Amino acid sequence: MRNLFLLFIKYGHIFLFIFLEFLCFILIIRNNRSQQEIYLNSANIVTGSIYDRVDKMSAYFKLDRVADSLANENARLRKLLYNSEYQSVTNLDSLYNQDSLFQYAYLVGKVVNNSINLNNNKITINKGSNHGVKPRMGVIDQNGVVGIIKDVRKNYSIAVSLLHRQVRISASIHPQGYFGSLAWKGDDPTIVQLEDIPKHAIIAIGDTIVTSGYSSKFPEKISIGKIDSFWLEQGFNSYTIDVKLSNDLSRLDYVYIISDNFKNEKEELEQATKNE
Amino acid sequence: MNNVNLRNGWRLILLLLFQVAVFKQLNMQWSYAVYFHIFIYPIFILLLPFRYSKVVIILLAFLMGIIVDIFYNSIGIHASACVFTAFIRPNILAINKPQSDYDVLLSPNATNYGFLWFLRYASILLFLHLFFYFSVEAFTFVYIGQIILKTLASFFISILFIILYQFIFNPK
Repeated sequence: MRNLFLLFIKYGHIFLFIFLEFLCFILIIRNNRSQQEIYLNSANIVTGSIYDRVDKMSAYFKLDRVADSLANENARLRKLLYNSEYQSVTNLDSLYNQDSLFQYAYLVGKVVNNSINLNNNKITINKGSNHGVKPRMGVIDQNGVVGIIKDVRKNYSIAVSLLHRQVRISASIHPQGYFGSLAWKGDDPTIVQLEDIPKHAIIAIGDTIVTSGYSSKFPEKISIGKIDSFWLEQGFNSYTIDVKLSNDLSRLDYVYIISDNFKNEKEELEQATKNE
Repeated sequence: MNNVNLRNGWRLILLLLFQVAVFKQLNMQWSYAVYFHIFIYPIFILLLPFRYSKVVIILLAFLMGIIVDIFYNSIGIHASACVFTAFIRPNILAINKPQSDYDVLLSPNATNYGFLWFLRYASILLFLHLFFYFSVEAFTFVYIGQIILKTLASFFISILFIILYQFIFNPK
């Protein structure tokens, strides 16, 4: 207490100075119009910049939610893309009907488990039958094809990835249009093989491989990868092509599960004519 | 003791009268008045005797500033400059110490310590006072050029009047 008192005696004039300057400051901004305006303006600038910083910081903590909503947004936008539409345009005389229905719907899922170095690799996705996921739906991410849903529970589903020996995906070379089926040979997780491309096809290293759209799992022209190398096996009539995948299956995060609204119709029709 | 207080009281009133009744009116008549402001009242703070404590000096300066402000219709601006000047007065006295140390019974004026010493002392404090005053008046450093121009112009004219005041009221 005594020390405090001594401190006050020694430095009292400093306290008084600060106090009186503060008092003057308040008097000035209360009683003088132009100073008041400057004060209010700069106060706004200061508080504005502080709010700005706080906002930036809280935005950082909101990033995961933002990413979720962006992924949802992407799914919605993909739904609007041309190759998810089923064209019901009919030309009758001069009548041009521009109606189109959506053939494909995209559901966002997050990969919660993944492997790439087994013989048969699977992906667990946090969407299940509650969200409308059914077996044999296609799975893609923003860069290309990921796999096909195999098994579904209420809230989770398992997809077999491209890196699964039993997966066959119908793929075609863009833009030439030759199609074949895609399979993994089980060694390099960035390379899959495309078979059944006929010998007469003109292809080159670097050509783009996309989905063919013949199966109802994927819309057409979804990127798969690029031709890495190709060769003709002795005694075969078709090329074997190594395809470098366009996406990195070891770093999956958000994926889109594709449901085909006309799947049943197409399959029923194909089944009905199968034995003819 | 009483004599000293009385003298300073009279000086306060006299300087206020000068400032408000003469220099303020003069300022308003003159067309270059934007830059040339005559400040005579800071000499009151300059001449307060050594024996007054720092706290008393700051309070007296605040009182004077507020009175000037009331007449200038600028509440707080002169007062803040006066408080600032009173606050730094001991520091300026310390760096401007004459060969023989200060006599606590006297006042810091030209009669006691010589004209040159007083000129130095008064110039530094007056300049700081004016710079502080015009800064607070502008309330922003955006117009720093204007502030410096006003400070210099007002400084040269004010220091003349302050020296004149010293010669008239403290004859050798």
